[in-house]
Amino acid sequence: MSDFPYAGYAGKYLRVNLTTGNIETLALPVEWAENFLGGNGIGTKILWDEVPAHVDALDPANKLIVATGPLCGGLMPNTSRLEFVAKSPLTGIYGDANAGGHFGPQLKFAGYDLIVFEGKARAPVYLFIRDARVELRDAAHLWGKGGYETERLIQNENHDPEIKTAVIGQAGENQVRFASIMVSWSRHAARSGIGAVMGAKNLKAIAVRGTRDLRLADPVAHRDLAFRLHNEIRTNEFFAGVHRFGTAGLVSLMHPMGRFPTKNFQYGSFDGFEKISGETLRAEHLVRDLGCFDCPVNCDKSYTVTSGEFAGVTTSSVEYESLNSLGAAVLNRCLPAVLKANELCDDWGLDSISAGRAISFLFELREKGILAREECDGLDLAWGNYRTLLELLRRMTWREGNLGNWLAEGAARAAKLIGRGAERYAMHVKGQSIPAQDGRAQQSMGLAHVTSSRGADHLKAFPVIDETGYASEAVRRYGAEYLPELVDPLATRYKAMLVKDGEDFGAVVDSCGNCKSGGTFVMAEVYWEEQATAIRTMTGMALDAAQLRVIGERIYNLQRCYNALHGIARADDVLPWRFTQIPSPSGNAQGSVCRLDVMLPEYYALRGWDAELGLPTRETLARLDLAGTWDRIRTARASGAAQETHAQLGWAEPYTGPAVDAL
Amino acid sequence: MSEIVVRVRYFNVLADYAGAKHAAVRVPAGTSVRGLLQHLIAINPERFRRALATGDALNAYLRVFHNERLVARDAFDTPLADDDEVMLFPAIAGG
Repeated sequence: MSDFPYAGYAGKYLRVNLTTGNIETLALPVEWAENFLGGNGIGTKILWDEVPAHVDALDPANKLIVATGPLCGGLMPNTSRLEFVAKSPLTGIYGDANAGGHFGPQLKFAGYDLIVFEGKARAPVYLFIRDARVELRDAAHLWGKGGYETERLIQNENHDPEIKTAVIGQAGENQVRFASIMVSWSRHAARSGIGAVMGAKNLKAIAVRGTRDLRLADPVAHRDLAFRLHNEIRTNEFFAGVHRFGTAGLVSLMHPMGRFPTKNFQYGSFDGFEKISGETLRAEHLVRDLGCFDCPVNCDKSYTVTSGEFAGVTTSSVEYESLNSLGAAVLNRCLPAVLKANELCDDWGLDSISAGRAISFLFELREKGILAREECDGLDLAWGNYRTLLELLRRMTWREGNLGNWLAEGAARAAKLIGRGAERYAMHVKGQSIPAQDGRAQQSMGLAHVTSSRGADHLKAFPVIDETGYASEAVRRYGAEYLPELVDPLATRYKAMLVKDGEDFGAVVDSCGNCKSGGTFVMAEVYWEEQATAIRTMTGMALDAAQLRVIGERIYNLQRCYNALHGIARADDVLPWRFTQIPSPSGNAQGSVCRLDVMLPEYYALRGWDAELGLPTRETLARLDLAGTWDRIRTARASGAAQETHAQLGWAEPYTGPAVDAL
Repeated sequence: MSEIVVRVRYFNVLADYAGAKHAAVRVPAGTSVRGLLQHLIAINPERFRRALATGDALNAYLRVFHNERLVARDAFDTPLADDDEVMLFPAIAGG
């Protein structure tokens, strides 16, 4: 048994040096748990302490942290989540990705809260964990295989179908900068390109099987809380729609909202939305519902295509985002082709958001004449050509030809390589492509993209309260005095508060191991008080909601500090021109632009960040017990090291100059 | 014109509950958005009614688009015109 003072934790972690093959089992530092909880928080702390800003993301000196949190594996709803933290090959700054499934709890049951991977193996390996038995194994026979086959081979050779895996496909091996990690086959840690970090380390997979008990501090109180919350989620008004259609159910709603990016964000509505909607997907392709560990929602589903050109396709995790990036973003109305593209992204290990966005960027370059026909490697880059879409997914995975190599770098870096004004059509923030969440149609989401610590992203702040108007939850969380503006997606008032609170709470959720889509943000039965009670009853840690808020702030500020070492500051907190200058052309958002100029200063003030620099002040960091970080940032900026690192990030800055056309 | 026809489109679980994705609904001229919803509650099965209302009160998370514009809760008395389109969504959120 571990002598760690808190229950709920395994109390140990693994440090795996891939260069030497040395594996250490170490006691989890108590101060990590008390100050950063786990998952996202401890991952950030390790990155800050151990990976200097000058280290390239694909260098062996980058580290990969695979971390559970204190609630992972417990009784609370959706406590499956696993966090991957590393410097991102896509953005060059702080990166993370999160996935559900069953791997996280298995790691905890094996006796480890997290794993830190260092160095680079000489040849492909995978890490095998069965309780106390931990070993690096040869993965030469797995290299070159897709995610599905890799998991199956690992389970077969170990004669155990219950082994859970986190694996990369060929995209990770080839260091595609937005490569994902497949987790227990149906979930994916996709953003930030962490799969390429695994590939650069010659780490093909992690396989785990755990059989140990997990101790709870107050089992009865924890059980009672968890059961109450399970029941409340099941009777929540949002449950039926989310359970039945998953995130795919959002497609139909976002069309009239004008919030469904179409043709590389030229439009906010898609006239073919019903062909790729969640309703059509379920009616024509559903096999069955899928669920993560201890989840009452089962938002994931598996789908198949039984006839036509794509007969035989079987895929899962067909999310709202993928239906957009592989559908509307490229004007693809063929749902079976979207499913095929999704299957390929999952198996080869591509973030479907960044992959689809890169392709839509390329299509627009062709449309605008920036790319000549003879530069297109023999492909027809016409909007809606799904055969080209599928072929480009293959070429980017294997970095084949000009187009494949450009695309494998992601839209923002490709824009820099191509030049000729291509940056005008790369819709990104800090190197990461903007997901299907248009800030013109939901002001808070525009702010969330620029303040996200991992580049454009909807899940850091996850401001669902004003997505369509979540009034009773807004009153419960913030008070009636903030209505109606707080729940109006087109209003800017109070959105800085919403985004900041979401980022802080989200950092805590991602550090604990529960899920944002079921119970904390969507079907929001769990907020600060409930989360604090859950941690207290699971671990015995004397935490109240106020203390938990400070931890959330600490984690998010430390991520900003890490980015500041890379020269990130206010000048990088921008959206491309299309979002701030071109009024949304359709739906409920028609005529709206994103008003960052109004929201961002308010956000900095709420955060206690310097208004000019957009960085935490010395006082703010001292309040968060991060005093030493300020000196390190000041030194990096004063010496010019931060600016030098920024100059090498590799992506074209988002174009914010005069509008180049009307769409 | 004593009657108008409104094109109603049901989404998500509402389509399952109504047994249709869309309907051409005939209502008296001058009917408001609220009046249309009350009419739909009256003609559809019980679980459709439960998704739209609790007692006489319309549920908070029901989303209504009138000619592709989100109808604010205080604008439910807006009158409808012949051939208007109304889209109905139950509680959905996420991303």
